[in-house]
Order: sequence, then structure tokens, then C-alpha cells
Amino acid sequence: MERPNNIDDLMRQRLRRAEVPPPAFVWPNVEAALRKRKRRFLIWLFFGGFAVATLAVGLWWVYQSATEPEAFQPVAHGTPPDTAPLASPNPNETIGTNSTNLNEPAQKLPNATVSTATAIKTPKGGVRAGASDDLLETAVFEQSAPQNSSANNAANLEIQLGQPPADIASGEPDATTADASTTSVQAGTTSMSFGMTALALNLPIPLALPVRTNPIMQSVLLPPAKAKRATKKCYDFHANPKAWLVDAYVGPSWAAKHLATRDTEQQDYLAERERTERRDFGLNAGLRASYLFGGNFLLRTGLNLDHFEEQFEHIDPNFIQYDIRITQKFINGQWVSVTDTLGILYGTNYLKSYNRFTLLDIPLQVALELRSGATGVSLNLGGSVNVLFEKRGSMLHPDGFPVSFTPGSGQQEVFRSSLGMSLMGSIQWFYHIGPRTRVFAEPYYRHILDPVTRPELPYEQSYGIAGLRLGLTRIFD
Amino acid sequence: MYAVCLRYARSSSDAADILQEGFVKVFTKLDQFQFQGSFEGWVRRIMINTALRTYQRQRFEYETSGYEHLPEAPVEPDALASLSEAELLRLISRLPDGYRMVFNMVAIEGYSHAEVADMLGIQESTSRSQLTKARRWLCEQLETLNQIAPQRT
Repeated sequence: MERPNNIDDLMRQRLRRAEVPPPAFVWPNVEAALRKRKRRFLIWLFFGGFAVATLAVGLWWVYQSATEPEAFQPVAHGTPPDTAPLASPNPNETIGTNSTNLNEPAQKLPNATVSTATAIKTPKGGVRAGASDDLLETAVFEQSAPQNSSANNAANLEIQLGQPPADIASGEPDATTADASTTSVQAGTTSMSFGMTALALNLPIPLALPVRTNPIMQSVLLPPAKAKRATKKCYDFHANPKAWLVDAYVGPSWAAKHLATRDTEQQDYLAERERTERRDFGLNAGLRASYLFGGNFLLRTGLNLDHFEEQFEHIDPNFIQYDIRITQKFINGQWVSVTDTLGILYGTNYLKSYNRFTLLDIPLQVALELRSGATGVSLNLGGSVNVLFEKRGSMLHPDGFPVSFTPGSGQQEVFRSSLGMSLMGSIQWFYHIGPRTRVFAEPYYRHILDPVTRPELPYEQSYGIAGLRLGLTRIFD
Repeated sequence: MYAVCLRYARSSSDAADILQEGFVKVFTKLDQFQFQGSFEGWVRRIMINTALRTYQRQRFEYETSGYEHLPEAPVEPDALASLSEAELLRLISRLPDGYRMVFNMVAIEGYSHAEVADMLGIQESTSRSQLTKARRWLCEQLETLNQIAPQRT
């Protein structure tokens, strides 16, 4: 403990219990601040709820991506699906069957043949085609008579464990009746069992249906470990150069204000405005749909919200406020207005307000997307049209006193009702967390082309907004 | 409470700010008062913490730490008697931020240097140094005022 000193004692005696009445403006300001805290809480609650909802949708997407089949993959060896040659009959070609039923005659498989798919049993019970992954990729379904609708119906094929096998037999390309005699089933180590209770195959089967889009082939030919690995791959934009991308994002932003005038008499006023207004918190959020065309180009639109705040502080050292009461009294047979002065507040007045600006825009951007594996960047450039400009708060009047610019307050109309066009540019870095789901970070800048102030005012107030968007993208075919 | 804020603030407008912010905290955290000790003490503590946070960033920016032993001249009680409370508050408000905080907390509120060091995030030796310098500065100012006072009368 510090050794007592007599100046400490003397000061403590005089000041410890000293009472000084606070300025009169403090209590109304406390009341106003408490009301504002409630409003700010509601704003945070809204945007917090939005962020949570975005996260929930993102997680749902991720979950969906993990449970649904892999996106379209091209046929390997550069063979286009529509030009895949019909397989030649090969007595060694085999497609799966239950080893216990190898001697049973195969069921008819009208109009459908399977070629070049050699099935072997995998340790995990799954079945893969051929001895290598290459063969898996080249498994091709062929259809010899797609026009035959009755045959299509008949081709609904059910395979059940323990039931007589439904051999997807190979044979002559134009064979409409395939039986066991045309099928060479390899028993022993190359036999297979279907790891499922039922499969349904609906015809018409495309001429060359890729493995990854075919539920039967996927279940039959892809081992579980392979399927799991495959979900981590990216969406194949080369195979599917037209797609829709939907983004949801939220993030911080910073609004840079610029005040300018050609009127020299306004310079001091603008300097005072700069002194009394200070940038505060800002955020952006939005939903955006993008159409992918040409493999690497995107056309983007949606809804973008930019919200930013500014603090306005004003100290009036010569503040005087009269509280008066006007009553009507009946005196000498007539009504007279009587004015009573209830009180006079004077001293230094301190005003602090949080000015809020909210912009809702419809952007239209063109983007170039460059990909490398699971990651990539997109360069976005375009404009946006403002559809809503909400503003509330106070500012300094040219005569030196604070006024409200909130529309409807009846004090001062400063800002335009709509902001028109903005130029926007951004660079998005994205990363695939699933074949159809990406996360991204996107720094952006938008410049509002016209001043936000009304044209009749002798000064102009302009804004540029920079920010960071953090979000999720979902890819649709 | 305004007097408390005036002691910790640089100016009356800063003190009004602190008072306003402090009372907003009082009203929003009223449910956290646990009726242990006086309500006035709880409010006073909030005001002090608000004041400390107001100056936290720049307070010790240009002030070196380390204990400096300076001679402490005793102050005559009459030296303070001639000054009003408003003048004393104004005198304290002219102390540099670091001196003012430590002097208020140790000399007037009765906090120990360890508590001050903890609340301000400084070393105890810095707190002692600041207090010593504050006392010396106040003594010099009081001496100057007392020399001027007879001339005024």
C-alpha cells in the first residue's frame, strides 16, 4: 500500500464526496442512447439470423453433396458419349450375377446389352468393373432398339439377392433376346454378388451412359471407398459448360465518403461536416444467381445489400432550450392563449447520433472464371441498379446546428430517394468443399456514380464502398 | 457521479460523455447488481471503469515506466482551503492522463498499486511512478496558485 501523503488526504477530504450537478442534456441523451441500443440489438439480431440461416443452408448443401451421386464425368479415353462404338460380342465379357445362380438361365434383357464391363468382386462387397479403373470408366451401356417402347417397359429389371439372377448379358448388338447360352459367366474368383436388394433400370438407356450418372452402375461398379473419394472432386465444368450457380454471402464493408463543392463559401461547412462525422460499422449481404456459359464465363445478378453507419457528434456550447406550456383560458368572456415558461435549459449541448444508410441493389456483372483443381478465381465486373436507399440520422446544418435528415422528419431533405447506377468490381477466390458446393471470399469495390445528395444542394456527397464477401456457392445443372 | 467523471476526464465534455455512457451501462446491467455492497459504490465503479476505457488507448503512450524516487514536499492545508472544489477538479483535469488516472485511483479512491496495475494493464512500478509525478505536479501547481492568490486579493 502506498504511504499516505498529505496532499492525498487533503484532496480526498475535499473531493471524495464532492457533488457536481451534471449538465441537463445528459439525461435525455442517456434515454436516447438506451433506445438506440435496442434498435442496434435488433439490427444485429436480423443480420445474425441471416448469417445463421446462410450457414444452415450451406451445411445442408454440403450434406446433400455428400449423399448425392457424382456429377457428370466424360467417358474416358476421349471417346465422346454420342460416338461410343458399339462393343463387339465377346464371349469373355461378363456382367455380374449371383454365383449361386450361375447355372441358371439368364433372364431376357430386351434391347439392352452391356459390353466391355468385366465384373469382379471387391473385398468390401462392392463390385468394380475390370481389373483397372480405366475399364470402369469405359463401361458403356448400349441400346440396340431404343424405339421399341414395349421393350422399354419390359426392360424394367429387378435383381434380388437370392433370386434368379438378372444378367445384364452381352451378345449381339442387335439381339433382342439374350439367354444364358450367349453369355459366358465366369464363376469362381470373378463372380460377383449384388450388394443391394433391388435395382430398377428404366429404359430408354442412353447410347453411352456414363458410369457416374447411372445409379445401377454406380451401385454395382463403384466400390464404397471410391464413391467417397469421388464426392470430394469438383464439378466438371468442361463436361457441363452450362450451369447455374447460386451464391449467398455476408461480410464487412467500409464506406468512403467524399464531400465536394465548387462554392468557396461552403468549404468551411464541409470541413465542419468532416469533423463531426465519422465512419462506423458496415456490412454487406446478398443472394446472387450466376449463369455459366462458354465454360468460363458467368453472367451474375441477384440482390445485394450494403449497410453502413456513421457517427455524428456535435457539441453546442451555447445551447438554450425553453420549455413552455400554452393553455387556453376563458378570461373576461373570451378564450385567451396563455404561455407559461416551465423551464430554461442552457449550457453545453452534446448530440451524438448513429446515421444509418442502407442500399439495396440489383447487380448485373460479367465474370471470367479461372479454375485449377478444387480452387480458382473469378474476376467480376459490372454495375448495379439501386432499388432502395434508406437513410436515417442527423447532420450539421450549414447554419451550424444539428438537423435530422430522416425522411419524414420535416427538417432537412438532403439525400436522393434512389441512387441510380453503381460500378462494381470484385475478385472471388473459391474452393470446392463438394462437387456442387464452394466456399468463397470476395473483396469488392463499388462506386456510386452520382452523388447521393440532391442536385439542388451547393455541395455533393459521394460514396465508394469496399468490402469483403464471405459465402457459399451451390452449382445446379 | 458527475464529480467522479470530472476527476477522471480531461474536460467537462469528456466527463459528460463518460457519465452518459456510464449510466447507459448502469441501466442495461442493472440486473447484474447483486446487492453486495452499496449501490452507489457499484455505480461509481462503473463510472471509473468507463473513464478508464475511454483513455485506455492513449493513456500511457508517451509515458515511460519505471519507478522514480522524487522528493515529496508537504503541502500546507491552507493551500487547498483557498480553492473551491471546482478549481480543484479543474486542477486535476490538467494532469496528464496517466498521472490523473493513478492519482484518482490511489489517492482518492484508495486502490492499491497492485489493483491499479491490474485495472490499467501496467506494472506496479509504473503506477508508483505516475503517482509520485502527479503529486509533485500538483504541489507545484498549488504553490504557484498560492503565490498568485495573495496578489489577486
